[in-house]
Amino acid sequence: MSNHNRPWTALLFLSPAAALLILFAYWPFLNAIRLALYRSDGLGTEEFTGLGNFQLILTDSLFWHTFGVLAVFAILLIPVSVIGPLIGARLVHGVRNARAASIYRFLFVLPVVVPMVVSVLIWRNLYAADGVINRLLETVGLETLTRAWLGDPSTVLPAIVFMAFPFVGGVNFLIYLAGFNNIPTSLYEAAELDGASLRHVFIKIELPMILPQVRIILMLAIIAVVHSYEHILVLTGGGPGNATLVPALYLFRHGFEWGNLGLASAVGCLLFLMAVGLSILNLKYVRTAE
Amino acid sequence: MKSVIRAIPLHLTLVILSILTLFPFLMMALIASKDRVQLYTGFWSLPNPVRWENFIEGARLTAPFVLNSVIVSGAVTLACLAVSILAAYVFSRVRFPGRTLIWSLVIGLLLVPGILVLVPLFLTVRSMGLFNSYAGLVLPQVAAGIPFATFLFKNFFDQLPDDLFGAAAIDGASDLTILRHIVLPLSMPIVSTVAVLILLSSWNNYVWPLVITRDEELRTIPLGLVFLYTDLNLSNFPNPGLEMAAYTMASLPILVLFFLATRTFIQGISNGAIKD
Repeated sequence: MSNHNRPWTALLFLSPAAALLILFAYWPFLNAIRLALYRSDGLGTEEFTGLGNFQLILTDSLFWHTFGVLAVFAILLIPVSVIGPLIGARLVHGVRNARAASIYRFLFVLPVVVPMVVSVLIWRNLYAADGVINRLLETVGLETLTRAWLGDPSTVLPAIVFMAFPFVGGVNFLIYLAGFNNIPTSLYEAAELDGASLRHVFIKIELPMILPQVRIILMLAIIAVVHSYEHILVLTGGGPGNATLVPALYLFRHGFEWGNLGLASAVGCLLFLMAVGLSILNLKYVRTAE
Repeated sequence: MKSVIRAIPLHLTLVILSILTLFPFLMMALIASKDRVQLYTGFWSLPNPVRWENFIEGARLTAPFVLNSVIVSGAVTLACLAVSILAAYVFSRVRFPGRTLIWSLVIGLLLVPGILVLVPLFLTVRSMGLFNSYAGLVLPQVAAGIPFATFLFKNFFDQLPDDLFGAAAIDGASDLTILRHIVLPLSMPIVSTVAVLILLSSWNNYVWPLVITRDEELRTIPLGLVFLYTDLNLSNFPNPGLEMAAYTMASLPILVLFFLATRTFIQGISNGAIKD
C-alpha cells in the first residue's frame, strides 16, 4: 500500500501546511511583485506606476550609497568569516583530549544561542563614550584613540564588523569542525609515517579535504552580508547620517518609516534577483568544482 | 609526557580565543554585578559584594518578555513541527498527482529572502485583523519555518527502510497510525534538530514582532530589551548594572537549555546553516 496513489491522504495531510504557505508565503510573495509596480502608502491609496518605482530607486543616490556600504561590509566581513572559523576549527580539531575539545566547542558556539539583540545591545554599551573599549584604551595609554565609535562615520563600519571578534566561533566553525572530523584517520597516519610537518599536513591533506566546506561557507557569508540588517537596525538604525544604511535596511525604512511600500517592494525584488543570481552562480560553481 | 608539553601552546591559544569570544558576555556579567558606585570607584575590579538586587530587578523587568517569548516561540515550534511532519510524510511516502511540481514549489520558497516579503506580509496579516495579536506574531513564523523543516523531515523519512511501511500497511494500519507509531519514534533525532532550529530563529526574531505589535504586553525578549533602554530612560539616568543584569536574565532561559542539551543544539545549529 505504501507509495500508492492516495490523493485523499495527501490532501488531508498537506492542507495545514498548504493553507499557511498560501496565506503567509505565496500570497505575500506575489503581492510583493505586484506592489513593486504600484505607488502605495499602505493606507489604501494605490496607483499603478509600471516600472516607475525601479526608475526612482535606480536614480536615487542613496540606493547606490547603500551598495557602497554593503561593499565595505563584504570586503571586511567575508574574509574573516571564512578564514577565522577555519582557524578555530583546526585548533579545536588538534585537541587530543575529547573532553577538552568538547568544552572549547561549547564555548565557541555559545554566542550563537545568546539572543542576537543581547549581543548588539552589549556592544552598544561597550562602544559608548564611557564604555569598556575606551576604558581599555585609556588603561593601556592610548587615550588619543578614544572616541564615540558608533557616532563617527569613519569608525562605525569596522566597529560593526568587530562585534564578531575574534571571528573563530559560531555556525561556520561547526561546519568546518564537521569537515575536519570527516577526514579519514588513515590519511593522518600515512602523513605521520612520512614525517610530514603540521604545515605540510594542513596544505596537502586538510585544506583539499575541507574545500567543500570552504565553498559552502563563502556562499553563506556572501548571502549573510546581503540579507542581514537587523543588528544594524538595533545598533545604529543606519546612522550616523546614512553611514551604515545597507540595501535591506533601505528597504525596511521605505516600507515602515517613510511610507513608500511600492518602493520597498521594488528594492525587495532587486534583492531577490540578486539572491537567485547568487544561487545559480553557486550551483554552477559547485557543480563544475565537483 | 612529551605530547602533554607539546599541547600547552595549543591549549593556551584556545583559552585566549575562548575568553575573547566570550569577552562581551564576561563584561556583561561583570557590569551586571555592580552598582553605580562600584563601577565608578573600581570598574575592572571584581564585584565585592555582588549586587544580586540588579539581577532580581532585571528578572522582574524582563519576566513578561520572557513569558511572551516562551508562548510565541513555543507555539511556533510545536505548530511548525506538526504541520511539517505531516507534509513531509506525504511528500516522502504517498504518491499523488502533481507531487513533484508541488514539492518544487515548496523548496522554491527557500530562495525567497525574508526581507522581500516583509512589507506585503505585514499588509496581509493586518488585513486579516491580526495586527497586534498573538496569532499575528505566531502564524507567519510557522509558515516561514515550514519549507526548511519539511525539507529536513522529507530527507530523513526518505531514508527509512521501505519494509517498515509495507509490513504495517499489510496489517491494515492507517497513515496516521504508521506516522505516529512507526515513523515518529524513529525520527526523534531529526525532530529535536528541527525543533532547536525553529526555536532559535523564533527566539531571535526581532523585526517581525517589531512591525506587527504595538502593545507592550505583546513584546518578546528582543523587542522588550530594545525598548527597555527608552522605557527606563537610561540615556538620561544611566544604570549600566541594571541594564546588563536585565540582558543577562533575559538570555538565561535559552542558555540553560543549551547547557542541558548541547549535542541537540549543536546538531540543530549545524543543520540550520545550510538553509538561507
